[in-house]
Formats: sequence, C-alpha cells, structure tokens
Amino acid sequence: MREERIIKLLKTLGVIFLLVFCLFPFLWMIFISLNKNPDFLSPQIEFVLTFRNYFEVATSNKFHLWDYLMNSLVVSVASAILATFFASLSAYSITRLKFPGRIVIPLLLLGFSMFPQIAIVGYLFGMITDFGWLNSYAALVFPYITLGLPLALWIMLSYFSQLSTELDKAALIDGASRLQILFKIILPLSLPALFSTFILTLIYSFNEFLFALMLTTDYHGRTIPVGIALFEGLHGQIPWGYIMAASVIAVIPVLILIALFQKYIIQGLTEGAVKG
Amino acid sequence: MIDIKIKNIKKTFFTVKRGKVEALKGIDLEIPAGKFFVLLGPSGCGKSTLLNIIAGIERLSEGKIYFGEKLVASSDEKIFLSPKERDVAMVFQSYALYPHLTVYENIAFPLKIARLDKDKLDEKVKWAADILEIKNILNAKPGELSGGQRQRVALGRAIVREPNLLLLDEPLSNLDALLRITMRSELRSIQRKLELTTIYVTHDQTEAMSLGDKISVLKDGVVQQIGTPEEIYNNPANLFVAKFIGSPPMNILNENLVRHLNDQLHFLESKSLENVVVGIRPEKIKIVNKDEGIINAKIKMSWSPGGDSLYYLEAERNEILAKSSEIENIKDNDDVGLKFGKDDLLIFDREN
Amino acid sequence: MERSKTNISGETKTAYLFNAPLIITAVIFVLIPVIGTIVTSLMRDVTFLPEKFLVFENYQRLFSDRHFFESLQFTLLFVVVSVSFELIFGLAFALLLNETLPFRGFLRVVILIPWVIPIAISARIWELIYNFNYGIFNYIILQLNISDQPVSWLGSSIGAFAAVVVSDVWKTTPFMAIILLTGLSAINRDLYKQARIDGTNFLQRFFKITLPLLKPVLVVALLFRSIDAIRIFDLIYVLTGGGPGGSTSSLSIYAFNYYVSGDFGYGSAVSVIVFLAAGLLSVLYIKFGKFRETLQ
Repeated sequence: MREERIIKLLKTLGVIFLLVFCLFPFLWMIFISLNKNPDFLSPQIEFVLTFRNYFEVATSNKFHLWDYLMNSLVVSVASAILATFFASLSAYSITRLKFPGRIVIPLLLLGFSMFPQIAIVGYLFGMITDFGWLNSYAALVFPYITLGLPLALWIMLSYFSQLSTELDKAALIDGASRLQILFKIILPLSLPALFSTFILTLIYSFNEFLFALMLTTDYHGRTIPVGIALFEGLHGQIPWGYIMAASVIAVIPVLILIALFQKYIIQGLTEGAVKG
Repeated sequence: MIDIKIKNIKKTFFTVKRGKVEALKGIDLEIPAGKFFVLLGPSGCGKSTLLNIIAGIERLSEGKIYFGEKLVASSDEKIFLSPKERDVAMVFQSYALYPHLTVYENIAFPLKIARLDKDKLDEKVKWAADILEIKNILNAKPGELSGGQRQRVALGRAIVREPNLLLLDEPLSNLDALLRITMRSELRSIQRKLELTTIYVTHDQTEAMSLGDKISVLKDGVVQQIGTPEEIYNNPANLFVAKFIGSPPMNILNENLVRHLNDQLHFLESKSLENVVVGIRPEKIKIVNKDEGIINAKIKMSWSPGGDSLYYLEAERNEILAKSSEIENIKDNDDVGLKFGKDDLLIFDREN
Repeated sequence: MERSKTNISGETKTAYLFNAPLIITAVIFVLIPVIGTIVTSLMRDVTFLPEKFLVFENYQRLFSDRHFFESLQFTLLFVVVSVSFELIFGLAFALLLNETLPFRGFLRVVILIPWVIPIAISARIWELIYNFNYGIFNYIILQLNISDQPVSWLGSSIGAFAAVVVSDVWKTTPFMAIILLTGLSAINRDLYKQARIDGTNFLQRFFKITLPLLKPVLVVALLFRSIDAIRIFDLIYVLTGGGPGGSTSSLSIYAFNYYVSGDFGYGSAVSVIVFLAAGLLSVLYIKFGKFRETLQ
C-alpha cells in the first residue's frame, strides 16, 4: 500500500532527523574538545586527535574546573535533596490532611513558578549580601530549592494521591504519628517518584545560570555553567578547545544520569508538567 | 452480502521479549454469505489477530483471503487491500467511539470520509439510529452515555455503511450480565434483518453457542473444530473442544471408573485404557435410586441455581458433577445411582 | 460539632508544620524578593546616589525609552517565532516517538540530551558553531558555495536573531516533545484502528483525531513555553550578550544590564514589566484551563 510506504519512509527520515538534530552540537563539542586547532580558515577540516585540551583544562590554575564542578555538585545535590524533602512533606499534608490552604498552596507555587527570575534576582542580591552569604553555598542552595519546588510538589502530589489512605489509617490505629507514617511507610513506597523528583531538581539546579551569575563572585562559589560561560582567553583568542573539553567534563555527570534513568526523568516530567 | 473464504492464513511476528511468535498456524475457514460466524477460543488463541487480518488492519504472513470472488489479501501475489477497499466494518471491545464527536457525527464519520452528500448522509444516519433505537441521543457525546448506549452507537456506525462484512471483537464483554443477554438477541435480529455477513469473536462459549450459525473453535493459532453449535456440543472433535464447550464443563472420568464402566457398557472396543480419555457431560447423567443405575455414587453437595439442580457427587473415588433440569428430592450424603448410556460418553485419544 | 475558636485541630497544626519548610523558603526567597523588586521599581536606587522614593518616574522613563521598546519588540517576536518552531518540531518528534520503533529507549535518551546540557554550555557550543572564522556553519556555507563570503551570524542583527532562535529551539524542543508525547499516548489506540476501518488516510487521521484530542495538552504546553520564553536570559547572555548593538537584548537582559551598571531602580522597573507580561500569559492560561475543565 502506497500510504504504508510513505509512512515508513517518513518514519526513517524522522529518526535520522531526530538523531542529527539532537546530536549535532553535542558531537561537535566532543569533536572540538579532542581537536588540536579549531581554525577553519584553512580549506580542510583538520582533525588531529589530542587529549591535551583535557589535560590542560584539568590542571589549569587559571580555570578552576574542579572548584566549579565541586560547587555545582554540592549545590545541586543539596538543593535537590531539600527540595524533594520539602515537597514530600507538603504533598503528604495536602493529600492526607484537611486544612485551609490545601488547594491554595499548589496553585500558589504554580504561580510562583511563573515569576521571571530577573524579577527576583535583583532584590535577592541585596538580601543575600545582607545575610553575608554572597558567594557561599547557601546563596545558591536556597533559591534553587524554590526553583525546584513547583515541579517537585506536583510530582509528589500526583504520586501520593494515588496511594491508598488505608495504609495511613492502619498506621494511625497502630499509634504512629504523621511524621512516622510519612517516613516509615509512605516514602519507602514512593521511591520512583522520589527518584524522579530528585533527578529532575538536580538537573535544574545543575544547569541554572542567572542566579549563579549574580550571587557568586569568584571560583570559590561559582558553579560550572558560569565558569564555562565566562571562560575567555587571555590574549584575545578564545580557547575553544579548552572550553569544549571543560564542557564535556561538565556534562558527563548529567549524561550518565539520563542514560541510566531516562525512564524516571520522562515519567517525572510528564506527571508533573502535564498535570500542571 | 458476500461469503468469505480464508485459506491457510499464517501470522508470525517477532517480539523483543519472546522472539518469534506464531500467532496463526494455518487457518482455513469458509464463512457463508449472510451468516453469523463465531470465532471462539481462550485468550491468546489468535482470534483477535485473525479478525484484524481479515479487516485489513494487520498483514498476514502467508495465505489468501477472498471476499466473494475478489482476492483481497495474498502473500504470494503480494496483494493487500486496505480496510476501506475491503468495505468492512468493525466494532471493538472498547467501542472506539470518537470522544470529541457527537453520536450523530460518530455514526456519520465513515460516510463523511466517503464523501457522501449531505442529504443521503443524514438519511443513512437516521436509518441506522432508528434500527438501534438511539435517535434520542444523537446530539450527546460518548462521555455522557452508558455502556449499553455506547455499544449501540458503535454498532450504528458499523451498519450505517451497509458493509460487505461486519466484524465484532468481543463487543459485549464490557456490559453487565443482563444487558449482555438482551444485546445478544438484539444483535442477532439486526444481523438477520440486514443479512450482514458477520464474524464475531469471543472467549465466552455460552455466547458463542447462543449466537452462532457456525462456530470455529481456536486454540494456539490452530482451528480445533468448525461446526454448528449442536455439532460442536454433541460431537467435539477433541478433548480441548469438549472441555471448553458446555456449562458446567464436561466431567473427565478417572481410570478406575472408566474400567468399571467399560465392564458394563463395553465402549472401549479395541482401544486400551491408557490411550483414551473419557468424559461425560453433566446434563447426560440421570440420578436414580441406588442400585438402579450403572454405578452408585454418593451426593457430596447439591445446589439449585435458577431452575436447574447441580449435584457434586463421588463415584469410584471420582468426583463428578451432574446436572438435572428438575429439582429432585435428594439430600447431601444420600447414596444414589447414576444412569447413562454408551452414547452419552465422549471418548478421545490421549494426545500426548 | 463545636469547634473551640482557640483550639486549632491537631490535624491543621500538623499540616502547617509540614508545609512550613516549603512556605518559609518560598516566601523568603521568592515572594519577598518579588515584592522588593516592585518596591524598588518605584524608587530611585542607584549606587552611590541616595535612595529616593519616586513612585512612577521610572516607568515614565520606560515609556519614552526607545531601547526599551526595541527590547520589548525583540522579546515578543522571539517568543512567537521560537515557540512556533518548538511546537512544530516537538509535535513531529512526539508523533515519531509515539510509534513503535526499535531502540526506543536509546532515542529517548538522545532526545533528552539538548535539554540536559546546561544552557550556558550549549550556548557556548552554538557560539562556536556561529563563529565567523571558526564556525562549522560558515565552513559548510563556503564549502557548498552557498555564498562566497562567510556569514556574520552574531555580528548582524538578523543573523543574531536567527542564531538565538535556533539555539533556543534546539534546547527546548525535547521538553515540548515529551509533554506532547504524553498527550499522544493517552489517546486510545483503538480509535486509530477504527478510523482506518472507517476509511481514513494518514493525514485525515491526524487532523480529525490526533489534533482535536491533543488540543488540551497542546494549549498547556504552549502557554508554559511562552511564559518561559518571555523571560529568556541565559542563552542570550552567553551567546550574544544582547548584541550586536543591543538588537538581541531581551527584556531580562535589558533589566540585567541596568542592575550591573548599578541602577537597580530602573532595572527593577523593567523586571516588573517582564513580571506583568508573564502574569498576563498566566491569566490567559487560567482562562483556557477553566474552559477545558468545563468541557470535561
């Protein structure tokens, strides 16, 4: 049937296009990072394999790759854990307890998620400076928690509302407190959702730029997106090889995450975002 | 109104989990024009796959299908007509009603695709709605309807095209018991009235027996038997058919009992005990006074659902179910006799 | 049942406790800053100058600020163009991924890649791709003789606009695709089988079944993306810095520049405008959302 053949052709073309579309810049980054001289004024593309870029950027004293990475990891993991935890607490209370504000809180958080970061960061800068937190981990962890909360809350809400309340009732009869129920029963049963939430908030925090740009001032506090964004050469020429090498190193953690946990990420996104 | 001929249909597909799966292993069927033909079998026997292949929404791996004189699918000649070209209509178990369209629009849908002009289309939709008695809900959307109403709309959409062939894939399984029975007879009368060649797929043997002009029993992609309900009931071709058909199911007798019965009735002839399986349907066993029957038995339990009496009894260490259409004066733990003849027994070769 | 006014039920107390971390964090780090920004926008807050409460002077300045309107125009145009492309590509990919394909898991990982790479990093990659001398785009253009001159992507206002759109579409299409994929997979497969039997072809099935049933999800995805697009900052800061000549200066960048130069008051005013624009879209979303609910 002609239509079937057309569809099959479209599918194949589609897959090829998808692969090229998604992978092209990514592969290009790797290509440049392994290349000696990315200068294309010459008529051919030269590819001279070298790991020098990696070596130099990893051992450089001027580009504090490992400081940036460390800061990024600490800040992302901390904010992800806390965001997941706060969201779980709230989601539990919303799905199990009756109190005024039950409906308001998720909606409010949804509203907050629409606020442009620029409208927050200006005043936040003043606040953070007054707290004495400028360039510290705290400066980023707390704002990142609030960035991740809306999605985290929606995912946990959606998951908790599917868990039967009979478990809670049984535990209450057994004398458990609400907090105990949450920790000993509900959370262990919610591992997929917790996992999705954790990974997603981690990715968001890891990739965040504006807050990190404004609220940190040097390599002690800077995260890797800012580090790489501001990486300029010393003598006018931008060291693309080094930048790409640093970028590759920077994205490896996230890539491993998505390769292993693609299922959870997509599940979390769809639960959280579509429900919202 | 045309007849359908299915020759040697095979369907193989490859899955990641189970590798190569042979869903259909060579099916030959002839469906006479205007008849109600049932494909009966347990889940996984391939009946839905066969239906999809006849409809044209799945491709056969091997074989030929004729609609009347026309070859609509052939693996050898690489012919494969689309459902539209085959002019078939189908009703799915889930009814597959378009949720965003009204009942009217749902029924009109195939006609609209076929570009029928407005007046004719309206005429036909109203005609179908009339037959199915859904004229009063034409403006409603599927979400507002009950299960039974949705079923009628799905049927309406199918018959409105007056197709060559009507295919039904377990359309009544989502209805409650009472509704199912009323819909069965209604379905049958509509089919007869319109003289639509119909293929009906089900796993419910009661349904098959009450609806079909002819039944084909399928198991694991192979036809076990084709025949009228009476033929299949009285002369099951093999053990599987015998056990599958009949409610309550046929009793299988153990060796002891078979030997004992054979001594009296001599039905084994040249066959030896190890090579046969013998069964008897509950309805064929008559309960008489002790020692007045072929063998004696003890009643273990009895109950009377709706007019019939069912007796759970034990004879020669064999547990047997007997059914009687009268309510007899028999109590638990009574000793009774069982009476039946040689012809009531169903004897099969052991297929090991 | 009597409820004593002074006794909040134990449940409510627990609930407040459980929600405290979330509420406190959100209030301190989101609500207060936003209010602070709004207040600042009504003041003269410039470094080294004494603070003064101005009321609407900053906004009056905005209305006669040519550069502000250029920035607004750019932002709106960017939102429309970007989101449209994301919708088309996202839908295409979603339709593709909805089919049974080999290596589905692998494809899903691939499609996540643009979205997981930090935007600052992908912006630098694009910066290199668009580079006048070293960029692969210009290399291809020269090699294929499309033009005998390399294109100044980031050096011309049209080129820069295109560059920004392409980079943004690349980054956010996966997100669209995943959302739309969820919507697609919620559609009962039997409907398509039925439609085939009813005689439709592929295009008819798409327009008569897929699109109508996807509409609710589409609308939500569109509005979320639009709100996101209006506040764009990261990509532009790294890729073009707002140039050349401020031609790719989104509203957020515009505000940022004023922050950096010390004029927090004016910058806050611009931020408030972004806030209002996002709010307007949110209202639209709520309206559409209610509409959808009443239909169901």
